[in-house]
Amino acid sequence: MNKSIWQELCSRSAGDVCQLAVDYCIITDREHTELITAVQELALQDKNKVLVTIDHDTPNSTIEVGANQRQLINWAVKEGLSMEKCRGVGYLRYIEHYAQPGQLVVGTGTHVAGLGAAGVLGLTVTDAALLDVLKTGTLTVTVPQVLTVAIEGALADSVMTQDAALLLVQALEKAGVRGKLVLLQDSDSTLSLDQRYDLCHLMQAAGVLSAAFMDTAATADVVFSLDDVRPVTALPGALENVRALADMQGIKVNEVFLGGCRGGKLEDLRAAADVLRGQKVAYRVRLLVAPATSDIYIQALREGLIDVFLDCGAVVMNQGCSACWGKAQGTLDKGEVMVSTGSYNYAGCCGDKEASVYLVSPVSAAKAAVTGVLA
Amino acid sequence: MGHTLAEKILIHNTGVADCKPGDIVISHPDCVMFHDIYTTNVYRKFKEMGFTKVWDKDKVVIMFDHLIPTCLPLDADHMKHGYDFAEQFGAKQVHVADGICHQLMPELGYAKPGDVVFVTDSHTTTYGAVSCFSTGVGYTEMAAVLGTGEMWLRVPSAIKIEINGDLPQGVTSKDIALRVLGDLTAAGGTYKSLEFCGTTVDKLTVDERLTISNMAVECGAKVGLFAPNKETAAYSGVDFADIAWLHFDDDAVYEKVLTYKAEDFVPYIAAHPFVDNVKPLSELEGMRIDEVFIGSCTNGRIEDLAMAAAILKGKHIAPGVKLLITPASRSIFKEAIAKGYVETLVEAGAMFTHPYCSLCEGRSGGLLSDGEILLGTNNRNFLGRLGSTKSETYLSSPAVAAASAVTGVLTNPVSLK
Amino acid sequence: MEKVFEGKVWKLGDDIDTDIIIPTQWVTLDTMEELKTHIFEPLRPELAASIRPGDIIVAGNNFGCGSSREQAPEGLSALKISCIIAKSFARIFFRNAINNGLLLIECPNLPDHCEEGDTVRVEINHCIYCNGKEYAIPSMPDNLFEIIKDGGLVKHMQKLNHLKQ
Repeated sequence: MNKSIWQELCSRSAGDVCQLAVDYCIITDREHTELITAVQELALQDKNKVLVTIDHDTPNSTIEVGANQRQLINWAVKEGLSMEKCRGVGYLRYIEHYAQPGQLVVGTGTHVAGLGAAGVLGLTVTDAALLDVLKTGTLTVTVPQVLTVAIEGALADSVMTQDAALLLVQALEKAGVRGKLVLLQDSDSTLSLDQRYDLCHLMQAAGVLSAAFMDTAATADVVFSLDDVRPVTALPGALENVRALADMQGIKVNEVFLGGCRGGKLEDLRAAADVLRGQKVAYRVRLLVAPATSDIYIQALREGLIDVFLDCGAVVMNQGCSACWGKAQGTLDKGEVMVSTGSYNYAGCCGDKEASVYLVSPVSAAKAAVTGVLA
Repeated sequence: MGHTLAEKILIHNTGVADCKPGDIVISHPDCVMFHDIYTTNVYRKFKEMGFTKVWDKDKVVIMFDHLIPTCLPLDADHMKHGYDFAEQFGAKQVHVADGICHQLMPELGYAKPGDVVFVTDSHTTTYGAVSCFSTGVGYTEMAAVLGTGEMWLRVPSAIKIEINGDLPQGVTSKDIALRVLGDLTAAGGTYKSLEFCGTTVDKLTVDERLTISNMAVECGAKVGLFAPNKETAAYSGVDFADIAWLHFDDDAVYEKVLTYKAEDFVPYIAAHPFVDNVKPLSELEGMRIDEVFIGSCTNGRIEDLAMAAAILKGKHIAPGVKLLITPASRSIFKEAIAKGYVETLVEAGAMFTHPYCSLCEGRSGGLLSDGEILLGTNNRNFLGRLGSTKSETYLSSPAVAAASAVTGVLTNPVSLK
Repeated sequence: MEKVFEGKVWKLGDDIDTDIIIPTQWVTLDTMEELKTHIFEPLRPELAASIRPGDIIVAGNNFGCGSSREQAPEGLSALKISCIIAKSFARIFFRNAINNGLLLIECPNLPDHCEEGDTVRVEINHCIYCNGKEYAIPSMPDNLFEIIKDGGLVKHMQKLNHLKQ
């Protein structure tokens, strides 16, 4: 059996340049048309190592996106590649159906670190590097420095790992982690896979190479306690502008988004449903719910969660990236405010550039949907 | 002298002693509705006309079905105008994302047997299924009706469509609609009342009737009416005895009568790019498709989803095909969950969305790119309506759509293993 | 507008669709004065300039079929024709025309028995006279006629609301 990516990295010193075998190369429908054209002209080193995901904009918002998706679908069918077609967010589909601890996965997206929840090393690569991996099956890697972070303690009521992740990004930026590999330790062994995903997937925003949960014996460089985490929001513009919800002055909300890989996992939907059960969405507020994957959608159906959302007046859309990718579902008008469980809050990330997106946890989002204010 | 169903309802509504095709009468709508696409226009025209309140707040409905989830600039602004209209001018009912308006109107009892209803949308003919005289109007007209409670109508001449016998297996009411449209052609019903009867029609469920009435406008018809029976009366929450006057008169004058034997029907396809370009499925079987859409005010109801779920249960859609399914209302969504259809359809590979106009309105949500071919259960396949002008759209029943999603080519559900 | 009037006939055929009445590229023109010069352009480019106020258009079946664009009846209104007589009208066009102050008269027999340049006499609610023959037309309620006389539905409603105050 091949060595796991962790064994490979541990056997080398930081700064060494090496060729590592890639287990999966993820190609999504958000790739540039040029890259989509280029991959089709390649002789693939190993067709079994390619996963095509049609997930960011489903059903496609524009003719142009549809054209890219069609190219990828036809290519995947012709080449016999693995494909996750319109079945939800690719990273979570990967964790559900492909992940083995110790794998190395590459993609061009900025949330591939989320795979670290399952002990997979996800690395973001350039278009050129992606093409190279497809041709050779290997990735040239400079062995990174490692920073070990111990996650300890327990979350208080109504606090979620999405809150913790925003604070962790801040903490790691201060700790100077640019370019490092963050290995997270679940010190008390209490974190679920969904929670681990939340703690990994935003970490690239802190400038880290990637992040993953690993049971290492190493002494933690940083200890992050969940005990003190309180509900927070990332203010419009950047993930780093984090503020405690308790300090917010009651921002009036037009739309609430509950979904995507950050807020549409099963535990997220359960937590939000607990808030929304028996309640109604506030007058003039739009609540958009999108389960992250087909598997999650089906389990949410079985648990009655989708009924809870429908009964409270929500719009329940199909599995996928939905409003987080910001192209077609729930786009905002100028001056509107969205409270979102998505992963983006830059200007124009979901509709008009003069709209505002506040990132919160699923519980906080559900509360905002009921009250109509972010507070 | 007898009357057509349309004449009967208009006499009932307007109070005229008698009427004949071509007469212009003043109707008093029992309900009017405008949807989010036109809220801004209606709001502005209403103010411009000098009105300050609607004529009857209990008879005005506003529905948000085209623009939620929002997908283009100003979608939210149109909704804002809808709320503002309701608040400022005294409309009571605003339905937000509860479903496609043409499903909600009959489902929620806004459109009832014997009523006259106007809506700012061409597919308002749908409520003829529950014996409601309902038709589409422009937004200027809607603004005036909202202020006055009156609207003039020209009494339509009528075409009787009589279908007798039993439909073959795999043939649905959508196939009836397509066959009749193909025979009448796109202008063949202009201004007319299409009135459906016969032993086959008598047995059609409300869902099946709604599909046929919905498509009546595709040949230019003003209304597409059915006589009520106990089942349709119960659906509308009315006592059948109270609407028994809405029956076919033997001596009514029909401009034309089309008579069909149900046994002669087959699954039909409306081929690109005209709704009346209707061919038997057998002529097109095996043609490649790229995307399948099951939904719309034509075929997004529980029986349609049941049909799709029965075919897709335990199967998976073809590798190259995208499948988009949109129920017609919130209550249908919930019923489909309760019956396990949603799980079956998602398991089979579908994108299952909230009830709204979805791909049928061609603004977002699954638009076709150059060269792609869609098979849809919706009502229009005009050039470029659902995406690129270099794409093609074919229309069918939900059964044909589901079977074709499995194989990736146009497929008769009866032949699917 | 009078209940009885005469006008010179411009003759058109069946299925005059709204794209013929006003092609898509012109519907966004800012004013009706600009737009009206393009009326019937694809079919008869010279026609819009030839039509004089008070003239009458006579056409075949299904006049105004196709899209629901209100610019079609609005543009025809701007040419100040006194009415359109056709064997039949598409439904939405018919309503949009009335709402824009344009009189439409359905008359199945006249179009086959008149020529371009003929003069016809219209008696609203009664009949049309042409070349010595009489053609029956459907009745129109006074309030509908009032809408046309007032210049369309918006102005008509403004008048009603003003009277009420």
